[in-house]
Amino acid sequence: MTKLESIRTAVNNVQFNRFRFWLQMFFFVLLVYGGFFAIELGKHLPTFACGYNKELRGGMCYLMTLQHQLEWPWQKLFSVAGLTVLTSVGIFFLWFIALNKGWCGFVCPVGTIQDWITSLRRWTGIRYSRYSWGQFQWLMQIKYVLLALMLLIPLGIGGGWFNNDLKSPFCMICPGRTIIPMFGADFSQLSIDFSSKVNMTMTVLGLSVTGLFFIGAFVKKRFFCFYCPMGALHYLFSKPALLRLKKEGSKCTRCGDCFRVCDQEIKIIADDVTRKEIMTDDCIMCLKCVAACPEPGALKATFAGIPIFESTEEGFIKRMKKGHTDVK
Amino acid sequence: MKRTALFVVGWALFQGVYADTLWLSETPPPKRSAENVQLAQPLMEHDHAQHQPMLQTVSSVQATSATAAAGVKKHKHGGGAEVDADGEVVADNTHSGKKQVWMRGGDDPRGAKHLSGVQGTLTLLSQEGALPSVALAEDKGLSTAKLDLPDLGFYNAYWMQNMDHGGMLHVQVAKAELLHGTCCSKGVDDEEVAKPIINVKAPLELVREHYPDEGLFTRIVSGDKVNFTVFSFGLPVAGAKVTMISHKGWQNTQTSDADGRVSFIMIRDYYPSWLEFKKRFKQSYLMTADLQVPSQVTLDGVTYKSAYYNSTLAGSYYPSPHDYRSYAWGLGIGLFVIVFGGLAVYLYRRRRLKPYQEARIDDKA
Repeated sequence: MTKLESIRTAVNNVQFNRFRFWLQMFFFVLLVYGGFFAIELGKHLPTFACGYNKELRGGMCYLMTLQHQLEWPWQKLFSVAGLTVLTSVGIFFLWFIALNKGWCGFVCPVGTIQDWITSLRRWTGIRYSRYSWGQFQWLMQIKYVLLALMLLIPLGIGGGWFNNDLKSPFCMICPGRTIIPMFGADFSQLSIDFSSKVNMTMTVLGLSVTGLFFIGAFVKKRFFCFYCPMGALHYLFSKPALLRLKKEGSKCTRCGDCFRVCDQEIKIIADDVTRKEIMTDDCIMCLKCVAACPEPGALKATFAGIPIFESTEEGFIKRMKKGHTDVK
Repeated sequence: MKRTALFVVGWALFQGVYADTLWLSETPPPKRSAENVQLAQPLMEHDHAQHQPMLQTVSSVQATSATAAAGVKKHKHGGGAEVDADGEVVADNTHSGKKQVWMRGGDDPRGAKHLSGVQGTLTLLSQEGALPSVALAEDKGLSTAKLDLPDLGFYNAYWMQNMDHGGMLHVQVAKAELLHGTCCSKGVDDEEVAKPIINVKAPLELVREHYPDEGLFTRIVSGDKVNFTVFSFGLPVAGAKVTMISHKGWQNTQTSDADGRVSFIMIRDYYPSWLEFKKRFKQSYLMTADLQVPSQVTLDGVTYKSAYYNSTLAGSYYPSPHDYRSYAWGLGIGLFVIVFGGLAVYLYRRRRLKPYQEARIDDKA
């Protein structure tokens, strides 16, 4: 066995959950406490590094920047200054293509918090919920509606149609705004702003969504990711991304393990044996499906076309012996 | 004794003649219709030793009537604060490095007139030292100066005027503390750039002590305790009378202590109805400091029998978040959703629970 092959075997046999837990922890510290270490990754990150975490954040979520820019008066937005918006999209794209939706599965602090809540539920022994196929089909549209509103409302503010208090509408309902600053001992986002009717409505909505977030994430794995407009935006840019999830249909036995471990309940991952590019708009690229697949080479993650992690029988057995508890 | 009495009489006479407070303001004149424009009226004339500004008041309306008529819409980050028809600042330009200051006369932060015909230059100081001076110019009939603040941080602008009143030196210092701020830049050492700047050449200067954690987007809010230090030629000075005038004219006067310090609480004087409340309502305050020096004073090689220094500093403050934010409601709503959401999930699951039923198949049947 060559050195390369032995490295590849070691990677494929990795205790994936443990690896992912520590990687998520690393990114959580980087994005939530990065400012403490003088780290600044900019304002165009394709993940929920919340801008309301003012002092400590190591970077900022692009959705906040995008909404701020779209709020510019139209005269400015549709002038040379509009190039700034395009530049921002370009920087976002450069960040995004490196990890594709892996930003959701490995980097997103809000996603990580949901995984911790799932661990808490698992520890209590309470079973988790799943959507029916009909519910799934209906609810999956919500993230696109939120994305459209997130773009149109700021544009409307710039055009003078909407009240300025509606600015950053998605941030106002995002649970990241209320939860992430708390990790830096900033609880100011847990209040209702009575300064105007719009502010009051938006902050009430924001705290209601936060309440739903805790309930939802407790009974449903990655509850919020299913409605996340960042996920929808990711999907629009995902075609040229470097990290990809591929399926070799001829090697698939349709055992359904991948579907069972999928936090997002993506049925197509098990059912579709014709499509090579198996990533869908709901996928968070956590790669748990690859780790749970017993068929050698049936599922694999590639980076710029090079396989970096693929399903193997040996890896599957090793992980099962350690107790693969994701299906709980 | 005779000399002191003469000084007191002279100073009292001088106060009667020269009562108007001159200050530098970032607040532009309000936008109103062109019909309200009034002609300039002479305010005062003086026998000035060095500069002899002929001050005139112009109804603040005049300046922007042309702009208003032209329908030019200013953007909040566009380099000038936006003021509504009543003179209330509705959007400031903290983020911008382009500032404009106006000379104003009077001790009412809201209604003080924007002046015309004021001459002189503004000295501009940054953390790194002096920047090129900027001459006051007439813009739309008002004395104003446009300033470029190249880097993020605080800058001080000074307008100074020396006058000789029969051997008594009178120095007026109008100071503005300008902020080229940002809410979001992380590459800036906030503590370093937010340090107050002291002008060692100013006969009298009010310096606002910045908060320990003050950055480039820190706002003073009503209820805050704000400390000022009075300096004379770079040294703290005791016994100066310092007056704070709030947005609606509430005044408090204190005397600087041995370290030159005075403290004021920014009182709340903004009480609109709920529907009219604006949390970003920018209120102005005006600080004045007076110092009498009964002994001989030499300035720029000229000796005077006594001196009277007067310094002004304007600033702004906003409504306190305590006026419009409620944690009790926020936590209450969050907990309500969690409790009732959890209950709903529990009941939903319980309703769908199918009781165990044993099915027996009788093979013989």
